[in-house]
Amino acid sequence: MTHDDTILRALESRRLAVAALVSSTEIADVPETADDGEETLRAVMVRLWPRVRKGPRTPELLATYLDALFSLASRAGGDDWRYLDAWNNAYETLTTAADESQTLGSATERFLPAYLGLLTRQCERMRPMVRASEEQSWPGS
Amino acid sequence: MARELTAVGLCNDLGRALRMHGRLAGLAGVRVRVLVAGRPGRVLLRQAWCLKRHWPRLLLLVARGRLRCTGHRLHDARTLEWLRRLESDVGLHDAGLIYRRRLIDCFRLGILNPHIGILPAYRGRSVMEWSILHGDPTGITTFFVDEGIDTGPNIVLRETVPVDDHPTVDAAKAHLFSLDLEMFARALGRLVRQATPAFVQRPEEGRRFYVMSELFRGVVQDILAASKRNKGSDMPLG
Repeated sequence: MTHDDTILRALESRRLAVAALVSSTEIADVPETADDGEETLRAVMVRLWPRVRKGPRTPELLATYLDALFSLASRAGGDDWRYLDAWNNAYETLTTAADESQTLGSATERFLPAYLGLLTRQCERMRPMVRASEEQSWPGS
Repeated sequence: MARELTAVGLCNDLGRALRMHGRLAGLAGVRVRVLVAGRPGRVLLRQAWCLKRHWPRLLLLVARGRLRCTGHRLHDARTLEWLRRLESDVGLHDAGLIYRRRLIDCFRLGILNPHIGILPAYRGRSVMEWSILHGDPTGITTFFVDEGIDTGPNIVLRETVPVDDHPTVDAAKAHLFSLDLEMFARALGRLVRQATPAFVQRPEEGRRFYVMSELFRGVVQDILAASKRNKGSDMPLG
């Protein structure tokens, strides 16, 4: 079993979990806007995400956090896993947060369809790679 | 010709300081001191057990000038002044903080850090996990820190350390962390023989990694478990 296969299985399973939370069947596509992805990723992971995790989660903080995250969307659909993982961390924080305020609720509503779109895109990107790698492992089949 | 190096362990824990001194004191060509710095209340509370159990050895080390405990923080002006007066060659990172230039400059060569990833490729957090996720070797890089995140240019040692024998992420990570004193010993030994760095990394090389999500950590956990299973199945039968 390749690592890609293990990653794909985890992404598929997360995609199903997220799909169950999203009411609309429409998968959001988010345009990329960050010029400097590396610097935006640093800001998300070092400055914003720890504050969102710790709270208090003000509407301004959540909006800034999600804006920065959304500006990394197309990178998160690519092969540098650090970008998708910023979204994975956001999901784990937003959906397990203890407070169920309206602020958090609307942030999650904005976040989930876009995250679902990213996971779907990643799974589609990975399936042929996993198939190819399986065919290489079993040349006779 | 080999010269004698002087090194100071920068600790915030008495037990760690004792272990460090115990491992490094016998190294040929190296004179080791350890400094325990931190708020007195916190240090004493956390280390009462160590004082009770090891007080004869602690007293001996203090009397010989090999151990110093201070209630001031590491970056406090009084601590820095004491370190400057020592004119030591190398500091040994064990205090779990980000070092400022004024502290780094207290040492002729700088402060050594055994980082549990291969530099320059893996800088930052969760680097063991990211290496495994990418299918890259795990290992430890012992280098002189600068004020950036794992960007210090002078690398003294870079060794791959497989972690396939450890079935969990925590166990694998604990194994790598447990090698820090060994890495200090090897790095100091190398510096006694040869002052020039083994490798030089540039800031533009490599990438910075961040705390890994639970999702990817689970993937790494599965990869480790599978690798241990595969290793087991490679064993000859009978």
